[in-house]
Amino acid sequence: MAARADNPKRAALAALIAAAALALASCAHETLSGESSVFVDTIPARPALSAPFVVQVVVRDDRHQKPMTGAKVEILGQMSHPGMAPVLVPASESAPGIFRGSVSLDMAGAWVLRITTTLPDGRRVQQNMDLDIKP
Amino acid sequence: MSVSDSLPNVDLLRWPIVGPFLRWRHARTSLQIGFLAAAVVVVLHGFFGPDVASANLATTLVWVHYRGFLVLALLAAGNLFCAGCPFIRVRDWGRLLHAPSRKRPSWLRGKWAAVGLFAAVLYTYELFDLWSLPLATTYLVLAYFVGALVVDLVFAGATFCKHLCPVGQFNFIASTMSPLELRARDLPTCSACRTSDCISGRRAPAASQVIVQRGCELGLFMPTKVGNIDCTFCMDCVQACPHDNIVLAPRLPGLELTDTRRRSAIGRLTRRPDLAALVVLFVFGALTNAFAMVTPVRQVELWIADLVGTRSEAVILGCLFAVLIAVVPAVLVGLAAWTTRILAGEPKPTFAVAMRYVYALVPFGFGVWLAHYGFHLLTGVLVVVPIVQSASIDLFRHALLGNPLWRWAGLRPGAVFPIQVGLLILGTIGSVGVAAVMTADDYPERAGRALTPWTVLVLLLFVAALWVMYQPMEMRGLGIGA
Repeated sequence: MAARADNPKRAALAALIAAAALALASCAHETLSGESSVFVDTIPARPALSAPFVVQVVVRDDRHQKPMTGAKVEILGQMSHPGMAPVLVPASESAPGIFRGSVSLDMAGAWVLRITTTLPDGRRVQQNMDLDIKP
Repeated sequence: MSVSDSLPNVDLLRWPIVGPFLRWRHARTSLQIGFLAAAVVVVLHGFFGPDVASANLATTLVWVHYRGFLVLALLAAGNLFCAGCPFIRVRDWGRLLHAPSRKRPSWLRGKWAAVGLFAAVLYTYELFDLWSLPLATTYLVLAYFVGALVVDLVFAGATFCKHLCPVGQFNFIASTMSPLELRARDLPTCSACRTSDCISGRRAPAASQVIVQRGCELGLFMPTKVGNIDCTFCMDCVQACPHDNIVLAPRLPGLELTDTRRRSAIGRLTRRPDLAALVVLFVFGALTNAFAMVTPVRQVELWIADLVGTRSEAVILGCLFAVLIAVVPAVLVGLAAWTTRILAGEPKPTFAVAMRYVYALVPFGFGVWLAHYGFHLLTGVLVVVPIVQSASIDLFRHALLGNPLWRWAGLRPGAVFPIQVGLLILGTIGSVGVAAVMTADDYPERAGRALTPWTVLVLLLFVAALWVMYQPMEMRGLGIGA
C-alpha cells in the first residue's frame, strides 16, 4: 500500500522498507562456520544496460567482530545462455574488509554474477547473484 | 532431373583413410561410443555440476557445441550426427536383450507426430529457457535416450528415428543441403540383384533366418533412393550390399528438392503434406527461434499479453508460435502459390503449387539455422576449456588443469555478424536457385513470371532474418513476468 503524502513518518518508513527490499533483492550473504561472513551486493541495486555499477563485497571476521582484510575477490559475470563472452573483474580492497569492483554488462537479459572470495586462510566462498538487465 | 550425375565420379568410400574408416564395420559404433561418452559427461555434470548454465557442460555442450557442430557437419558433409547418434547405440544394446516384435502402428507412418514433437521441443525450449537450465537440459537428453529405447524395443525398424525424433527430422530436412549422398554406383547391377540385401539385410549362408548385417532400417531401397531425406548415414547399406555397389558421392546441395521422382519409402515430395509441414516448421521455426532471442520479442510478448488479457507466458508464447509457424507461413506460402498459379496459368490448385514450391525455402531456412547456431558456436567454442578446468577443481579440490581461463570464449559477436549475413545471403541465393530450377522445369515458357512470387517471398524472409540478426541480442532467462 502506498504511503500517503500527508503522513511523513509513514512515508519515510515505507521508503525505508522499499529501499531494504530493493537491497535484499540483489544481495547475497554467506557465513562460514560461524567464523566469517561474506556479504555481496550491487550499487545500484538494479544495474542498467551498459552502465557501470559497483559490486561490493564485505568480508567480516565474526569471531573477533571486525572486518577481515587481505581476501582476494574475483567477479565473474556470465549470461544465462551458455557460450556468451563473460565479464571478469577483480575487486580491490577500498576499505578494511570492503572490496569493490566496477562491472559493466553490455547485453540485455539474464546474467549471473559469480563472486569468488578467497579468504586469507585459503578458504573459498562462491556466491551467485541473478541480475536481469533490462534493454 | 539429376545434375549430380554431371559431377565428377568421386566416391569417398574409396578415398584413403576416410574410405577405409567409413567402410569399417565398426565405424558407426565407434562414432556412437564417442558421442555416448560426451552424453555421459553431459548427464553427470548436469546432475552434479554448478546450476549456472554458463559454467555447466550440460548446457554448454548441448546448446553451443552439439547444435553448432551439427549444422556445420550437415553443411560440410552430411548427416554425421545421426550416424553417431548415441541414443541408437543404447537402443541396439537394448535390442540384444529384447527384440521388438510389433510393426509400427498405421498412425505413426508419416511425419505428423514428428512435426508435433519438433514444434513441442522448440516451444518448450523457449517457454522454460532450457538453455539456462543444466538440470532440465540433462532430463531432455535422458528423455531422448529413454524415448528411443522404449519406442524401438516395442516397434521394429527405426521407428523412433524415422517417425518421432525431432533432431532426426531436423537433420533429414537440413541434409538436403549437404554435399554428399549415398547412392547406387551402377543401377543395372541393382536390377540384376536378387537378394536386395541393402534393405532386407545380409543373411548367414548356412542359416537364412539369421541376419548377419542389417539393411536400411528406414526402408530406403538403394535403386530408388533419391537424396538424403530419411538417410541417417549409418552405412548399413554399404556393409550389406554384396556387390559393393554403393558410393558416397558429391552432389549439388539442394538440387534434390527439385526432384519430383518417386522416392523409396517416401514417395513423391509433392504428395507428402506431412513433409511439407516439416519444411514449413524447419524454415519458420528457424526465424522464430532466432527472433525469440532478441530484444523486440519482449515488446511483442507484452503486446500479445495485453491483447489476450493474460500474463501466462505459456499462453503468450503459444500465441506467438501459432502466428509465426502456422498463420504467417500459411498466408505467405499460400499467397506466393496463388500468384504463381495466376502468372503461370497453372491449372492445378493453389495447395498443389504450394506443396511443390515450399521445398524451395529449405536453403534459406538452413541459412538461418547456420547463422544462429554458428553464432553461438563461434562466440563460445572455447568456453568448454574453463568449464572443464572449473569442473576439475570441483572434482579434485585442486586446480589440476590450472585456474579456469574464463576469458576464453570465442569471436566477438560483432566479428561474427558478417559471417551470419553471408550465410543468410547464401541461403537466400540457394532458395531462389532451387525455385528457379523448379519453375524452369514446370513452366518453361513462363519460368521468369512463375519465379517472381517465390523470389519476393524469399527476399522478404531474408530481410526479416537480417533484421532479427541485426537486433541487440537479449539472452532471456527470467521470462515475461520478471
